[in-house]
Amino acid sequence: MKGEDALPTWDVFHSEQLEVERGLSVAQIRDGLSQGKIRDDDLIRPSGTNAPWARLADTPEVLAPEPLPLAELDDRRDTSGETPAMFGSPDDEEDLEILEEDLQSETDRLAFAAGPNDLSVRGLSRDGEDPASSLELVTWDDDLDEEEFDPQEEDEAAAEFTLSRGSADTVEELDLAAMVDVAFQLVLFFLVTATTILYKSLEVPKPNPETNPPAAAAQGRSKSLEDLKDDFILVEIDPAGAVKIDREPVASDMSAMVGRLREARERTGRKAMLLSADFSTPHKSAVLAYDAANEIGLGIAIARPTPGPGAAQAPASGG
Amino acid sequence: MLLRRQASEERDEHIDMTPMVDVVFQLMTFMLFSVQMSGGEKVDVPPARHGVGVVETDATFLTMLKPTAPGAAPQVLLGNGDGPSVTFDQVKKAVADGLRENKRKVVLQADGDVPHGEVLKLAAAVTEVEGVTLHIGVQEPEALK
Repeated sequence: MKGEDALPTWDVFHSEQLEVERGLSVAQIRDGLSQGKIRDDDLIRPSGTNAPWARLADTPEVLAPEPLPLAELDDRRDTSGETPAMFGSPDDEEDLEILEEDLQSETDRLAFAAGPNDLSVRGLSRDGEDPASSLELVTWDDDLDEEEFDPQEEDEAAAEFTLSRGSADTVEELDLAAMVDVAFQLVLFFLVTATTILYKSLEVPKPNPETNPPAAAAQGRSKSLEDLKDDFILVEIDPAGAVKIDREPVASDMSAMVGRLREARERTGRKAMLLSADFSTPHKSAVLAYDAANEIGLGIAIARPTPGPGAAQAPASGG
Repeated sequence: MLLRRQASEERDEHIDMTPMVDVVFQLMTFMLFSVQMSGGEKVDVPPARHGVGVVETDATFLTMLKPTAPGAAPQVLLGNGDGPSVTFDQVKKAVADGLRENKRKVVLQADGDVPHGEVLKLAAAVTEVEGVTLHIGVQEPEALK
């Protein structure tokens, strides 16, 4: 029979501090309870085992040990008395007395040790032929525990076990479905708007629809460039793309043309440009002149081109 | 640890949408970078800084190709370089048809090397149709001077 040093100890899991305290005796647990260091919600299991954690409040053998009633022990003793192999001679009253005393003290000690592993005083009457060996059986036996260990059962128990409080089943993950919806809406938006293609263009005035030959036109309403020079800044471009502004050559690049046009406008107050380009002048040179006029907000007029240098017809005005 | 396993079991009940969101955002990024908001002109129209955007559905487009030989008349196509070759009369008809569809703008997408006189001849033909405005197609300059 083991002494007091063989008392089972318990591991206590403090659910608030999330700490495990190992090897506490029942007395220490009760002290902790009374001092408030341990609470009913804390978890407990026998030390050195893999038994599932249980709430302290659900472990009555620790909180309030209930000694096995003597009557039950008497019943067992009577039963064992009918089987001499269990307890030896039924006439051995002294042994029985000793057994009863030992049983009582051992029951007091072990009642709280009986846990989910079904170690109980009933084990006394199964195998033991002498009281001492019987009592040895009921002490906490790690080997017995090992035999009963079932991983499947442990998994099930663990699945039921949770540290969270009852109402703490909050959703921890963001619901991404709404985000996906918005993203797809954006994709659709881009798909639809991408089909609306913008073409960059310069608005130009309508040219004079008259398509008479220059020779005939020159006799009619046509004005010479000299006549128009007072109203328009004259820009001439030859077939090679060389530019003249007010008869003076200018480099055919944007900044030079803009500078000269601005200077001409400020000097004479003319608000429009008359483009007089040769018929075979590249279109891009004419567009360069349009762009330069737009840069400083000049109006644009286009003289009807002639195959060679000479008079131009009435300009179309715009801008 | 037990708690971790339990958490993963619960998460497995839902479809993990994170990779889906990733893919969608990748698609969006791809489209943002690949979309060209301006039209891809079929001819090499001249560059210009200033200009206004014309929506394709709001205008009648005409294209003038570069002359195949010096002095030859440039080819005029309907649409953005993908239409049939047309004469000036057909151009006027197309512009008039476009006007009935409320297309009041006519955009001439002329190659930069087309003679200026040829462009003006086409423009004159177009403006015989009353009620349209004339636009010369340009493109963004690649490098501002």
